[in-house]
Amino acid sequence: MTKTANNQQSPALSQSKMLNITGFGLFFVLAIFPIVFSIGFSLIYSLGLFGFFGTGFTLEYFAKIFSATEILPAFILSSYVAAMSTVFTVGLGLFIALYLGRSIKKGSLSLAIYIPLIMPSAVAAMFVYLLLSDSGLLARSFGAMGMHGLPAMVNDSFAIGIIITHVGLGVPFFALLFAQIAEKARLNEVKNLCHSLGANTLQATHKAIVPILLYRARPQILLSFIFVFGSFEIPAILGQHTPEMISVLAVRKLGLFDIGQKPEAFVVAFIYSIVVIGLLWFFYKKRDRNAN
Amino acid sequence: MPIKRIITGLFLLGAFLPPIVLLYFSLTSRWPLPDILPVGFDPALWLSIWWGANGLLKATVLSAIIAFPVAFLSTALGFITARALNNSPRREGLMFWALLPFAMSPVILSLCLLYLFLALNLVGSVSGVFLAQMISSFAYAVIFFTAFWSGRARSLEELVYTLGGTTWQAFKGVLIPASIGPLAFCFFQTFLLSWFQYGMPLVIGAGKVQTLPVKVFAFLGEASPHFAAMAGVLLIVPPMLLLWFNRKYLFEDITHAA
Repeated sequence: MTKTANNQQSPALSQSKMLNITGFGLFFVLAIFPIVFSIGFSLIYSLGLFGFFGTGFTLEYFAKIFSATEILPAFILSSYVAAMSTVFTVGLGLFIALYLGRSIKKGSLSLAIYIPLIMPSAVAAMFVYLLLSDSGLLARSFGAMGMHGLPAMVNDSFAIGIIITHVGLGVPFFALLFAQIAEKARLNEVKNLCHSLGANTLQATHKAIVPILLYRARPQILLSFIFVFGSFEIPAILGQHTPEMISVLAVRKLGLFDIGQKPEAFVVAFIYSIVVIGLLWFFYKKRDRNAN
Repeated sequence: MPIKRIITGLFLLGAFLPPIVLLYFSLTSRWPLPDILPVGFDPALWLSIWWGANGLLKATVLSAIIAFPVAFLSTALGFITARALNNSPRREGLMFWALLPFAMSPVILSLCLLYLFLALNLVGSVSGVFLAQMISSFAYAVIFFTAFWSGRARSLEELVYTLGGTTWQAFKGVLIPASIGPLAFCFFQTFLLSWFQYGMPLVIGAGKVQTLPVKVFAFLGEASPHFAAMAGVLLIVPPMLLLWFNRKYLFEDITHAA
């Protein structure tokens, strides 16, 4: 009987195994190999072991991180933009989810909230450029009212245009995310419990609701930071020339006529990859510890 | 209550203004100073697309030619791969690897893969851009379906085997019909990932694969905001239609999609 059952199951099991092997093969080719190749290649190139300038092992290009006026400022600018965008995006998302509550699920707001989510970064950046540049819609409107000298918000040193665009694209996502988390985690019941224990609405929100929402949304908050940190389209349109954000700097250095700067492009790419992997790894480890 | 209305109004303005402004810019031909709004209302500009004068028709077709197969294949392959990962005892570690191609900047990933694509003679070709976009879309699909396979799908598959069914029967008769919703969701998400992608066509396409996002940048570089707006409108039309007809395929459950 057992033998018959095994004979009946074996084709299914072998097909299932074949499918698993195919899945792992695909995963290796399309996920693991590109990442390993990217990191390995950028490291080899930046150590002078490959390419036109590959004359042997050197730390010369890595040393330029600290000596050059471009690489370190690019990382600082990217971190600043990513941090500011994430803080404002999450903050405003929380505010809308908590303040507007159910109205984001009905009426015109329920449609409007999805529009920024289907807006490509390049198009959003173009809109912000048309709106906020020196000769944009806002400057012309103020000019028509006799008010000149609007502060620069595009190609400016504080990256205001870049941050506004990222925040505009990200807020609806976080508002929807927090609203869905609140519904799934039954935060209304938590709020009622807080009230019955004597807390007022502000205390319940501040001490219970917001911490729960932020805790549950940690992966998305981290990914939001990482996406902005490596974003390209928005800073390419709205950013200033020096310093640039890392993706823009890497692409410019790769495409320069001066091919002597190519290794620096790979130094930027390598450090960026390590930062992203480090952030994700740190999050994974922490999550595992919390799960255990 | 008035504050709530003001916030709602601001939100509606912020959401609807960009598409309206872009549409208006695409219908005009000049924006001289100090006019606030562009002038020279000329809807006939849109007809120039059909003549192929600005390359927008070609760019739209090319973007679709790349995005549809990327979405179809990454969804199908992601479905199978996620099943394999979910069956593995090292699922968590493998998920970390799945996250990397999705989380990394597409333009930096393309930059690091450029020499590999050069060696494979794929730089500047549609197939090269297609393959590069498969990397990030496939990673998204794997992440999406791993959560799916850890739920009811696995139990359904095991039930088919218990009843004597084959893998083919399990997929054809049970798993695919039961997964139409998630499959459609993943298809549309990966379609948008590819449709909006600029970094990979820029680096791997090497200026020869002129997709719609590449056109947006090209027109902005040429200081042609009206054509750039036209390209922008074409870019947001498919997701807008989808949003209008059936938004559940776009954002059924954002907590899961994220």
